[in-house]
Amino acid sequence: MSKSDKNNGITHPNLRNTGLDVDLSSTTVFEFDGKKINGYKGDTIASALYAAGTRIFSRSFKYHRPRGLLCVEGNCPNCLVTVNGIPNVRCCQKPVQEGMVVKSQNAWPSLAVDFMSITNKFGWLMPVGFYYKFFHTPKPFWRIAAKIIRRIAGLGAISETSTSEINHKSSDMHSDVVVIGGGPSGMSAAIEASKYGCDVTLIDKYNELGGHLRWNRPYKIKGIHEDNTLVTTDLSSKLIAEIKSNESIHLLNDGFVFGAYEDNLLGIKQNDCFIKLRSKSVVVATGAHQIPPVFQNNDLPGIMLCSAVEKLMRLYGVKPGTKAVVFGSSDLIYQTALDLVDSNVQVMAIIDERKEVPNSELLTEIQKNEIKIYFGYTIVKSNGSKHVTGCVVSDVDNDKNVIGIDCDLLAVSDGIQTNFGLLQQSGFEIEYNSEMNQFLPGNEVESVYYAGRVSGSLNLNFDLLSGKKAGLQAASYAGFHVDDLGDEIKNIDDSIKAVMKTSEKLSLKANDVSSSGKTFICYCEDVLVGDIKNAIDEGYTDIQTLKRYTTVTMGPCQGEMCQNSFVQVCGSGTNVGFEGGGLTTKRPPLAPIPLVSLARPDSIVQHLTPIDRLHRKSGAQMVDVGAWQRPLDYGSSSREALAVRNKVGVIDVSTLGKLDIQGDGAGELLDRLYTHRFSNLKVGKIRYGILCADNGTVMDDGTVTKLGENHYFVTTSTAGVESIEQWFKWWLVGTGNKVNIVNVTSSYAAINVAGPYAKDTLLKLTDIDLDVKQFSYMNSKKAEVAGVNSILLRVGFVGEAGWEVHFPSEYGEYMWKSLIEAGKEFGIRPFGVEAQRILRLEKHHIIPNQDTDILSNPLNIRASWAVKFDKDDFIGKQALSFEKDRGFENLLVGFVMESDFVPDDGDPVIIDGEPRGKVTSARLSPVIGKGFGLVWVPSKFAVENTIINIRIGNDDLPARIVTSPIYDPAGERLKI
Amino acid sequence: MNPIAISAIHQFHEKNNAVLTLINGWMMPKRYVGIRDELEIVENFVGIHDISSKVKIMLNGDDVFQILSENFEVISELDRKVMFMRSFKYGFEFILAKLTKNQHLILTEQQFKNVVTQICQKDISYVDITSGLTGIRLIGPKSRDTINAISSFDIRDKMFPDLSVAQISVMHQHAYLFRTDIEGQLCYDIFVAREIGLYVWNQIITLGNPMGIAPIGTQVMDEITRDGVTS
Repeated sequence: MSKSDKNNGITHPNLRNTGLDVDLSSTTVFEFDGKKINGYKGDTIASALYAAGTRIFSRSFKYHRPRGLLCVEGNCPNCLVTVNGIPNVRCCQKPVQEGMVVKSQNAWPSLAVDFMSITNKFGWLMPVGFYYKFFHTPKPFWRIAAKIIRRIAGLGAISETSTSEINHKSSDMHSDVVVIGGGPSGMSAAIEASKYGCDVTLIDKYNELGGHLRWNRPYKIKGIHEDNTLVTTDLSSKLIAEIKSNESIHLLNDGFVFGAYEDNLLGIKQNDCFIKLRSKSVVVATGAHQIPPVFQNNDLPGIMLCSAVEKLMRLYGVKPGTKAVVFGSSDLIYQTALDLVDSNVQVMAIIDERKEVPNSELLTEIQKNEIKIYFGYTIVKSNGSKHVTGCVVSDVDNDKNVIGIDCDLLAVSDGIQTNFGLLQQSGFEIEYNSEMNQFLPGNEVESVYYAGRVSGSLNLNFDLLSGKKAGLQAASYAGFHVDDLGDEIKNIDDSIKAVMKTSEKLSLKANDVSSSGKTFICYCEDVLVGDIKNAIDEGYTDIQTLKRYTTVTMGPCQGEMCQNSFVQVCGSGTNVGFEGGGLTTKRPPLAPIPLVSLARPDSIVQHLTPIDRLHRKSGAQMVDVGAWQRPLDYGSSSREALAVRNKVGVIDVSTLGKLDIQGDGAGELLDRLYTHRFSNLKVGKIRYGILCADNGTVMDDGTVTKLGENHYFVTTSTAGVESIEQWFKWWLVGTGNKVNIVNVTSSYAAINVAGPYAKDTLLKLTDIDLDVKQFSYMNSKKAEVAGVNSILLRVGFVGEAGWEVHFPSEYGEYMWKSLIEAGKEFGIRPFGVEAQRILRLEKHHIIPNQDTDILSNPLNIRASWAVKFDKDDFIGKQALSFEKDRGFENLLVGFVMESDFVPDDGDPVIIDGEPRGKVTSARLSPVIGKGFGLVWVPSKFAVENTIINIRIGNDDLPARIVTSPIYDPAGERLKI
Repeated sequence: MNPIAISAIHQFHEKNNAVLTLINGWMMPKRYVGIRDELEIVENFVGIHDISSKVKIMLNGDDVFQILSENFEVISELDRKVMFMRSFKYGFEFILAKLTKNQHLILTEQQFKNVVTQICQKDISYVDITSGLTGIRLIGPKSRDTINAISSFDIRDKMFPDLSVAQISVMHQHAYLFRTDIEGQLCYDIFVAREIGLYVWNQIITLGNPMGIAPIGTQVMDEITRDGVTS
C-alpha cells in the first residue's frame, strides 16, 4: 500500500522519512484553510503542512508578499496563522491536534491569490515612515486612511467568539538555581549545580532536551573526552538520561522564559500556563540562532535557514526540496549540504563566501560527494515570484562574474546571533566584542551566569565546560558549599582556553549590503535595506531613533531575525561600524504573550459584607465604595431617607473601619493622634474625633468608644482603616507605650438602626433600657441583641436617634433578618449609601475626602470644637495653631438652592465671574424639597443668608449660604 | 430564631448542595458528594474545606509562651513556629503559632474558646478575631501545587516544612498560612479577611481545577483524623 493510500487519498507529496519527533504510525487530521491535512503525532502544524506540499504560509505585513518557512524556531513571522480562533500562532512551534482548525492570515481571498499583493507594485508610494508623512491633511482624511491602512496591514484578527484557549492558568515556583536552555551547556550547568544539593529548575523551550544536538548532523567529539569516538547524539542521550534520573533537577519542558525581572524573577509561558519563578541564581544558556543573509528577493518561499532545513529533515522527516543551493560562510553549510544529500535532495552547489577553507573531515566528505563549491562567492538575488526557482551568485571580488543556478530550495546561513535578550534584561551590557567579532555580555551581574553559545562560541567542548562553570558558580551563589571553588573555576578556565584555540567563530560581516530591489532587513514589518538608508539620509542616524522611525526590530520577531543585519546597515550607513552603533534593547516580553496569561483574575477583589447576599436578594443596586460593595439604594433613596426621618431604617455599616486598642498608654496615644481628648473619656462614653496629618490637614474622622479601662474601640472611614492602622502603629513606636492595636474591621458586622422607631425596634430584641435617660446620645453599652453579644453605640450620623449595633460577623445575615422582622410593625426599611448621604448632608456631617481636600483642616471645616489646643501636643497642633492665628481664606459651609436645580458634586462657585469655590456634596432634600449641600467659599461669603452663584451647566444659579444644618439644627431628634 | 453562625463561604455550600450540619453554633458543610469520593480526593488530589469556625485568638505580649506554659504543655516539637499545646487541666489541644516576636495566634475549636480566653484574660492582651477571618484548608498531595497557583510564597519543603506559619500574600491580599500535615498528608490552612473569603475560596477552586480540587466536608475530616487517610 502506498502512502497516499494510507492517507485516504489526501495529497502527500513529500514522502516522510523517520523523524526524531514524529510517530509515523499515528495520524492526526486537521484543517487548513478549509482543507483536510494529514499530519503525524509529533508534527508541528508547519511540518505537517510542508510535508503536505504547502509552501506559502503567510502574506507579508505591508507588501503582502508570499512568505514560507524560514527559521522553524519560533523566531520569524513567516508562519503566523490562526489556530482555533487564536491569531498569530507560530505554526512551526504548535503541535498538531486532531480536528484543529488552522487559518491563514492577512490574505484575501487566499494565500495563493491575495489581491492586496498589489501593494507590492506600489512600494514607492509607501516609503519608510510614510504614515508620518502622508494623509495628515486635510484632517478628516487621516481618519479614513488610518482605517484602510490598518485593515490592509497587520496580522491576524482576534476572534470574538473563540474561547478555546482562554482558560489560562498561572502558577508560582521557586528554585535555588534556574538554568534556562536545555542544550549541552544548560544540561551541563544543571547537572553540575545539582551536585551541591541545590534544587535546580531546567527550563527548555522545546519538548525534548538536547538543543542544537538534536537537529545538527552528528559528529565525533574531540577534545576534552578521552573517548574520541563519542558522537554528539550519544553525548546528548547521556546528558538527558542523567538529568531525568536526577531528583534535584526539575524539568520544565515547553517553557519559554519571556522576561527576566528584578531579584531573579522570571516570567515563563508554558503552554497555556503563566509561571512566575523566583530563584537565588540563574544560568542563562539560551544559545544562539542562525540569521538570514540580506540579498535581493531574500524573502521568497523556499529560502530557509540551514538550521530550519535540518530540523525539517531530522526532527520531522520531511524532505525540504528537490534541488538545493546552500549558502553561507561557515562549516555549518557543509553539514546542511551533507544532510540534504542523505535525504536524496540534489545539492546543486555550495556557495561559500570564504575564499579559503581549512581542510576538514566535512570538506573531504563534500568533495567525496562531488558537490560543487563556489569559494569566495556570495548570493546576489533569488529568482521566482511565489517560490524560489533559482539564484544568482557572484564573485565577492568581481561582481561582474555572475552565475545563475536553478534550485527550489535555498538553504542559507549568515552566521549566528546570540540569544542575549534575558542577559540584557538581567543587567548585562551587551557590547561589541572585537576579539569574537560579536555582540556579547561585557560585564558581570551578581547571581546571573551564562554559558554555551550565548557566549558567541560554536565549540561543543566550550558549551560543556562553560556550563559546568556556570553551574558551579550558581550553586555557590545560592548558598551551597563548593569545595575549592577558586581552584575548580581556574581548572575549568584553563580547559576553556585550550579548547577555544580551535574554536570556529561565526562573526558579524562588515561588508556593505546591497539595497537594490526588494532586499529585506525586517521580515516582520517589510522594511527594506533601502528604507534604512533613506531614514539615515533623512537624519535618523542613531540606532534607537532609526528603530522607532523604521520599526525594524519592533515586529513579532523582536529583532531575532534582523538585529545583526540592522546593526550592520546602520553601522555602515552612519560610518560608525558595529562598535559605534550599539544595539537596540530587548525588553520583555521576548515573545508574544497572550494578555489573558498576565491578566490574572485576582486583580480586582471585591470586599463583601456579611450581609451582602441579603442586600442582593432585596434587589439592592450595589456600588463600589473603596474596595467594598455596598447597597446604593433599594429602589428609591428619597423614600428610604424619608423612612429614616419618619419611621425607622436600617443600614449595613459593616464596612466601617474598626480598631481595637488596648494597653496602659492607649488613652495617651489617642490624645496624641486625634485633635480631641480621649484620655479623660469615661468607660461607656463615645467621642467624635478628627485625625490630622502633621501639617494639620484632615486625614480621617470617626468615633472613639471607651469599652473598658485602657480599652478603646475606634471607628474610621470605610476606605481608611488600613492606612489609619499603620498611622497609629507608626506613631506608637515613637511613644514607647505598650499598646496593642488590632484591626477588627472584618470581625464585626455593624448595622445602624435609626429613626423615631429605632428604639422600639431594638427593644424587641434586647433587654437593656434604651431610654435616653439610661442610654443617652454618645454612649455605648455591651448587650445581647437577638441573642448575640453586641456592642451598641448611640450615635447619629444620619441625624436621628439611632444605634450602631456591632456584633460578630458570622451573625450578619441572622441579625439583619432579626431587625427587619422586629421593625416590620414600625414600617422599617433598609436604606442604602445614597439615602445615608442625603441624611448626613442635611446635618452637615462631613465625609473626609468627599468634602475635604488636601488643604482642609478641622478649623476651616468649622469643627474647631473638636480641636483641643489646651492638650500638651497632638499631631498637627503646630500647623493648626498657625492656621488659627492667620485666619482662613475659605470655609466649608452649607447652602440651599434658591431655584429648583440641584448642582452636581464639584460644580464651581462663581464670584465676580471667576470660580472661587466648589460644591463638595449636593443632593435634593426630601425634607425641604430643594437642592442643598456643602460648599467651599471665601471666608467673607461664609455668612448666613449670603447669596452665591453656583454654575450648573452654563448657568450661574443663586444659592443661599446656611451655616447651620438644614435639619434639626439643635439636635433634638438625637435625644428622643 | 436562634443565632446561627455562618461563614463567608456559606452560599457556596448551599449552591453546591452540601449537607449542612450545626457544629458548636456554626452551620458547616458535612459533605458534598459523599464521603468515599471526598476521601479519594484527599488521597489523590486536593480537598478544600471550610474551617472558618475555628477559634482564632490574637495574643500580644512578650511573655505569652511562658504564661501559657503554666496551663498548657507542648506536645509537638519545641521551637517550631507552630506548636500543639495541651491543657493540663482539661486535656484539650490547640495550636499556638508564633507570628512575630510578641504576637501569637491560637487556633482551637469553638468548645474550648471560653477556657482559653479565661486563661488569657488574666495576664495576656488578646483579641478574638474568629469572626474576622475566613479559614480555608487545602489537604491532599496536590495542595502544594494549588498554593503555588494562588501565591508567590515559597512553600518548598525546606523553606516551609510541617508546623510552619507565615503571613503571606494570596491574590494580593494579606493571609496567614499554616502548614500542619495531618496523618502524613500535606495540609495547608489559609486564613484571609472574611470580606474576601468567598472570593478567595472561589478563586482557589478555579485555579486549583487542574489539580483536581474539590470541596470536602467535616465528615471526611473527621474520618481522616480518626483513621489516617492513607490507612
